[in-house]
Amino acid sequence: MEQQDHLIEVRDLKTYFYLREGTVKAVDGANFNILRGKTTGVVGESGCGKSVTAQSIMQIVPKPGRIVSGDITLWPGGYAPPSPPIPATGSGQALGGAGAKHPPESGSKRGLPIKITNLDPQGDEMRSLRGSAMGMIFQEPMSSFSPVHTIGDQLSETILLHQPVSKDAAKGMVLEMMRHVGIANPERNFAAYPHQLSGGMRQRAMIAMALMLRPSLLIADEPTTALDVTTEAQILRLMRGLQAELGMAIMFITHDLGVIAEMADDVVVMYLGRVVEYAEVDAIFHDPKHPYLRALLRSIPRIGVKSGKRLTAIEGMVPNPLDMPAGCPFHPRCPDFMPGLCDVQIPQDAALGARHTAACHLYEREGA
Amino acid sequence: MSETSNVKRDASADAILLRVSKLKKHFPIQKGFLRRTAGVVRAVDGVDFYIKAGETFGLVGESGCGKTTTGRCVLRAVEPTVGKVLFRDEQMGEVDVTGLSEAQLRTFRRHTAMIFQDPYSSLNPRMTLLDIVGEPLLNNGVHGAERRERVEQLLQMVGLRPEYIVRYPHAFSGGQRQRIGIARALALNPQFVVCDEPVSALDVSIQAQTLNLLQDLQDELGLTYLFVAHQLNVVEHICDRVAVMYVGKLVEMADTEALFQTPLHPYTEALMGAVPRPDPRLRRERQVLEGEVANPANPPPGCYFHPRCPYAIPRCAAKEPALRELRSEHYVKCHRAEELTLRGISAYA
Repeated sequence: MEQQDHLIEVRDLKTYFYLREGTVKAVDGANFNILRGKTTGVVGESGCGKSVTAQSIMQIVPKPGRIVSGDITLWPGGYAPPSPPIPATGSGQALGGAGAKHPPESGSKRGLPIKITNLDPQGDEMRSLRGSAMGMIFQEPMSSFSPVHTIGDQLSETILLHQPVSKDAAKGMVLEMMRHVGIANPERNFAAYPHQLSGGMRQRAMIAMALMLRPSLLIADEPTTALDVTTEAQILRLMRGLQAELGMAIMFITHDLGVIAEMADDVVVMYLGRVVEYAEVDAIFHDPKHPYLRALLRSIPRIGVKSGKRLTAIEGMVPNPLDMPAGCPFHPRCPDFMPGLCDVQIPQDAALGARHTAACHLYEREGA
Repeated sequence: MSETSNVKRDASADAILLRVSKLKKHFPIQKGFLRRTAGVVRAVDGVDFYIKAGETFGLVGESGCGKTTTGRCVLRAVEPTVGKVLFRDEQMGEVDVTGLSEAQLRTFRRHTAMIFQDPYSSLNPRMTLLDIVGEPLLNNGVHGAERRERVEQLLQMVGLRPEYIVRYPHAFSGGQRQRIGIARALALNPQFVVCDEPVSALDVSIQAQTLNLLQDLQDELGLTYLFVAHQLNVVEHICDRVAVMYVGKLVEMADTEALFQTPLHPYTEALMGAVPRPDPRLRRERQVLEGEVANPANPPPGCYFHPRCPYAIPRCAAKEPALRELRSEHYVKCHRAEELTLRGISAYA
């Protein structure tokens, strides 16, 4: 039965970048699921592969990177919202109608699984999935919008590319969506250029664009990192509200453990291309298993908690991805390092509970 | 001294290393072919504070609030528009930094330093560590073997191997580069260091190391820090006293604990409510501050915060409040500070 909740299944995903200097294994055997209607947080430091994982799901991995092996499976069925997604308000009807008549896959309630990894990244099928089944928002909305087109035109384009509607109808849908994400004065801002909006408003416009076609998955790649805390709080609240209303799943990528604690239902912790721990959010913060996650949680200064004079830092540096250590990538910094094992053998995901895995030799042994 | 600042100079005055009064920095907005001045951005708009010798003084606020510009004005890296910056120099005695002659400024700059946010753009990629860390030494007449020895010593002090002296910055990670920046700042053994978001660009696992290093160096060398940052958890951890800025004004200043536990300004309360806490059990529907930060080129009348303030009354829009010492060493710029009971950080635990 659990299977039914999965919107996305990622199995042994490997995405490598073939550079002149060598091969960077940006994602090296990732396993996790994204549950329908839930928020899956992906947390890790720069270079851990969290963004490349998202790009792999969207099949937009930049060259010279490519998915080398593994499966990403999308279980659609979430395509057609069961009820009009925007209740009551004005032209919400038009939006709901557009969504409902949309993709052919919505014939059956749940739809057949789609192996994203088998699709041609440039092909029509993948192209139609992007935008309609999954939308994406980025850290810096300024660089994600074209500076020479108005916000309104760019948002309308999303609809016009996917749906046979008139420009006027598209404009109506855009205005409705802009209102929905809290952009003040939609008529005026429809004609505004991206640089005329504040950072918070641009991020709202980005969210509007990503949600325009009611995708069942919203991938948010560090959506609040460039924003101030008070604006961040507004955007996080907006995303929670939209999720409650539209029921999409969110893949929330961030390096900020505070934001993860705030937003996620499930959490994927990555380190150097590997998923080191995967569990429900409460277990991640209150029963962490992997030494990396434990050390990371110890090292952050906790607001409102007397942390003493010194922080418990993780020693050492994140290794160079071109020169990865053998065995577990964390072993050179690990307080629980077991010589002869951790530096030789790559640990497998060990099951620690119904929905809790950690890739660490400490637990493999326990389990065996 | 004739400046009529509301911030006191008494009791512990002898321990005060730096005192800033009525500091302003206005940047002109130039328009058109003739570069006419069309207005001014009030980046720093009348700021008063003091820093005690040996402490870490935090300056927090959102982007554009003027915290970085304040830090730069204090070192005269940018020329303040008006105001006084009194500094107790170990050699020259108390001087007003804004009125220093060229020669005095050179002495002042030997005794002060700055650590920058971005460890990538703040190091010249064509210079070796010897050149980068040793440049301040060279400018002050330290050459050859003596300079090399001092650079090696500085590298060791910040936890880098002395052999790295011949390498270029590209060979180092972000955390290591920040250590190089710290070594350079300490080359001339300064009294006072402005740290401008020193850990904001670093990975979480590297931030703790760097904060520990800054604290160790402070203990070892008796440094005083002005710590400019936007991350409240970092500020709470490392600072002894904290000032909060909003659109070029200082709205509250207090001991770290007093500021976080019993804030007196509604903006401070809002900041604490907004910061995401790393514990899902603290999750709840919080009061979110509406609206956006005021435009420093066209600020609202009265208190700059009043359009977003949940406690605003008509007086707030009419008259700008003064910065007042409401409790001992706890300053606030709010008309209603006495009557309001605001939530500190523990209200969210």
